[in-house]
Amino acid sequence: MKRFPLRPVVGALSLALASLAHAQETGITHKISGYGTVAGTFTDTDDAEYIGSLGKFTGAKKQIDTGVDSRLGLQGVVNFDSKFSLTAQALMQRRQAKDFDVGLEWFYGQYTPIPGVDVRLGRVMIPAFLLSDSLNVGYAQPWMRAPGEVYAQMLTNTLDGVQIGARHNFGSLIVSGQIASGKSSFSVVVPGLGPITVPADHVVSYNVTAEYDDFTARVGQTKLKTTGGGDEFTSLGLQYDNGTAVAMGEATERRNTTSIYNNKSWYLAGGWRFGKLLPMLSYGKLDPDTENPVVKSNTSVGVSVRYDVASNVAFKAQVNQIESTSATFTNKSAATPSKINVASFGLDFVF
Amino acid sequence: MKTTLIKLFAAAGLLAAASAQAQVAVVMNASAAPLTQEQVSNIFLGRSPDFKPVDLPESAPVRATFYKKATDRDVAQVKAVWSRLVFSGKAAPPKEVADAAAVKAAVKADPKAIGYIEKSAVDASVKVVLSLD
Repeated sequence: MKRFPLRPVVGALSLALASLAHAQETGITHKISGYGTVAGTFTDTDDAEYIGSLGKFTGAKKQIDTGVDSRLGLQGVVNFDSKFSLTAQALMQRRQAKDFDVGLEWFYGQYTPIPGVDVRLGRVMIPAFLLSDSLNVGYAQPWMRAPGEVYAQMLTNTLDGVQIGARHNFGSLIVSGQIASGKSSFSVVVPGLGPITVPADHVVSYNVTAEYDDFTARVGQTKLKTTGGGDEFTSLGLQYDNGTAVAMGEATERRNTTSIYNNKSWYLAGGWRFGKLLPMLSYGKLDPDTENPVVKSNTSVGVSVRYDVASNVAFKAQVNQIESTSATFTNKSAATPSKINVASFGLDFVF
Repeated sequence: MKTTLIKLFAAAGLLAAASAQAQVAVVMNASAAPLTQEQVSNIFLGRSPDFKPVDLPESAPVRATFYKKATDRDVAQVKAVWSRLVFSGKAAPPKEVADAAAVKAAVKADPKAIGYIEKSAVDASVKVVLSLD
C-alpha cells in the first residue's frame, strides 16, 4: 500500500553489500529469491471496472487488462548468524492508477533467540486472515485470486512496528501464535477531492493457528485505529489439504466506527488434484449488518484451474460471477449490470 | 510370441529393479533417534523449526520419490508450500546439496540436519531414522 521509502532501502542495500564483502570470513550468508504473476483479466461489461483488491483506481473491462493480477516480488535475506537476519521484500504491482508501482511489503530485522521464536522489528504484512501474509505469492495459492468478500476488505496490508511469533510442536499437534503491533496508513478516494492518505496510528493483529496432520485451524483479530475512527476484523479459518483433496473456508466479522461498514463475510472452497491439474470451486458472501446505500449484500461464485507446468511455474485460469455491489468493482456507471463475469488467465512463477 | 514374453519378463525384471532402487532412507547424525513418517513429513514441509532439512537437486530422481512417499505431494506442490513460508518469512528453504555423499557429510556434521538418500548409499557414517520402501 505504501510508497517505496528510498532512504531505508539504500541503507539496507549498503548494509547488505558491506556484509556480503565479508561473507566468506564471517559466515554471513545471503539469498535472493522472487515470485511473480503474468496475467490477463477481462469482464463482460464496460460499465464497471474490476480491481480485485482495494487500492487500485482502474481495472478490467471487456478489453484484457494485464495490470489487475500481474505483479513481481523480489526478496533478499541476509543471515548474520543463526539468530540475526535482515529481510527485505519489494513488490511491483498496480497501485492507485500506476502499473508496476514499487512498494515495500516486508522490511525487518529478525532475532531468533531459540528455534521457533521470532522477534521482528520493521515493516511486516498484517496477518489479518488465513492467506494474508502470502496473498501476493500466486505460486503458493491454489487459485488466481482469493475470494474478494473476505480479502478485499482490508484498507492496508502492512504495518511498521514489532511482530513476535512463536510455534511449538506438541507431538502431532503444531501450535503457533503471532502478534504484530505498529502504525500504518492507507489511501481513500474522496469524491471531488481525489485520493487522500489516512494515518492508522495504531494497528494490532494477532492470531493462533493449530495444525494437525492435514488440518489447519486459525483464529485471528486485527484492529486499526485512525483519528476519530476504528476498524476491527475477527476471523476464523479452516483448511484441509492431504495432497489430493483441498477444502477451505473462512468467516469474518467487521466492526467499524461507521456502522454502515459492519458486516459478516465468508467463503467456502474445494478442489481435487488430478496429477498436475487442480480444479477448484468457490463461493463467497458478504452481508452488511444493516442494508445501506454504501455497502450492499453481495456474493461471488468462482471456478478455477491450476496446472503445474514445471516445478516453479503454474498456469492458472479463473472465472468468477460477482455481484456488482462488491467492493472489487470501481468506476461504476448507472448502466452497471447486477452481475458481472470476470475471467483471468496467466502464469505464476517463483525463482 | 516367445520372444515377446521374454521381453515382457525382462521389462518386469527391470521395473522391479528400478523400484528396489527407489527405496529411500531418511538419514541423520549417528546420535539421532528414529522418526515417524508424519514427523519427517512435517520437517520437510517446514513445520518443525527444530530440524534442518537437506534437499537433493530436483534432477535427482530420489527427490521426487522421497516427497511422494513421505508427504504424499509432488515436487511442485512441495515448492508451493515452501513458497508460502519463504515469502512470509516463516522459514528458510531446505539447504540443497549435490549428491548422497554431500547429504551424508551434512548430517554427520550437524545433529539437527536431516536428509534422504537411496538406501544403497547408506553407510556407517549416518543413522537411518526412517525407511521409505
